[in-house]
Amino acid sequence: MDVRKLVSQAKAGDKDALLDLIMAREREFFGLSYVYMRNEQDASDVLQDMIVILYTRINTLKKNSAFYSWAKQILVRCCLTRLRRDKRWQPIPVGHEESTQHNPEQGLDLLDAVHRLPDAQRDVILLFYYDDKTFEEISEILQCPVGTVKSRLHQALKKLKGRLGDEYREEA
Amino acid sequence: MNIEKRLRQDAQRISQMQPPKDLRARLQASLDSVPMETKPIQRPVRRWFTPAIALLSAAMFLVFVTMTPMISDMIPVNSVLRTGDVLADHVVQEMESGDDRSLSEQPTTSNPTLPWGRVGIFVGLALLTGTLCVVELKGRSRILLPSLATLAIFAAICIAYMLNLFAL
Repeated sequence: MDVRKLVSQAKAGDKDALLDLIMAREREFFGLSYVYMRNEQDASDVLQDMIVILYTRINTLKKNSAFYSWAKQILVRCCLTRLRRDKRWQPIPVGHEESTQHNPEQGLDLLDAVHRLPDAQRDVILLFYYDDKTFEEISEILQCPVGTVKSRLHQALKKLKGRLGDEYREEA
Repeated sequence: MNIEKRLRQDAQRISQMQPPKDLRARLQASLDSVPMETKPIQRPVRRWFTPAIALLSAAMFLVFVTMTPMISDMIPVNSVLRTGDVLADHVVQEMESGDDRSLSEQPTTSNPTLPWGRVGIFVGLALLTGTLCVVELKGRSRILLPSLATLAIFAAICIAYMLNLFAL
């Protein structure tokens, strides 16, 4: 599949070309959407939002080869917008992190614990581990320096270890 | 178990999830709800455009600035700035030569030549700049109109100054 050619066609208004581009990596897109939304229905809805934005803004994309990183950047923003709109996303206020710690009685949900991290750290964890992105790709998607990405990842892992360390030791 | 290993395992579990079978149809339906783009695709401004405009503007400015000595030469000898000196020289000369002509007679006004050549260069550069703006910014009226208006005002002021119109 020639990505650049399909992107050029999509830029010329070819909806099928855009659809082919997304469907070629449907698992990647659905997986990324799912880790943010945590249910299939919402994940599909966000993908629908994303493809409309991609179609209307594709002419702002300068490098055709950067289509997928650009599309994922838009997907992440769509997820965050929908989470905020649905008011299901409650950022943890500073100083109240203790109250959100995992309760062992409810069972261990790693993704849930990741979602309790501050936004910036959660995004890095989701993109690095769940979407298998490199530091450079994450820095491009989140529009921040590579050093910041590494630092956020380190802090996020430290927090996760602090919160879930005991449970993991018991499981191991 | 190591937290990183656990994260990778969880990621693998999610990556094996099957997207809904009707995903393509749903995405297609979303795309169909968007009206087809009817306006022509706006291509980005070419790379050389900004440097070219900067260069032309600099050239116009240079042409204008190099006018300064010529403008000073163009000031008529009986102008406000020079009348006093000229009159004094004139009186001294008359006294030395014993000429009894009336002092009320004014010295002749010089006939300054207008810098048509340079004005031509300036107008040419301005026209070239305007044409480039029109060609490259066609369809972007929000940028094109202010650019052309600025260029026109700047060019008009400079040309008027060069032709000494303000002194009239």
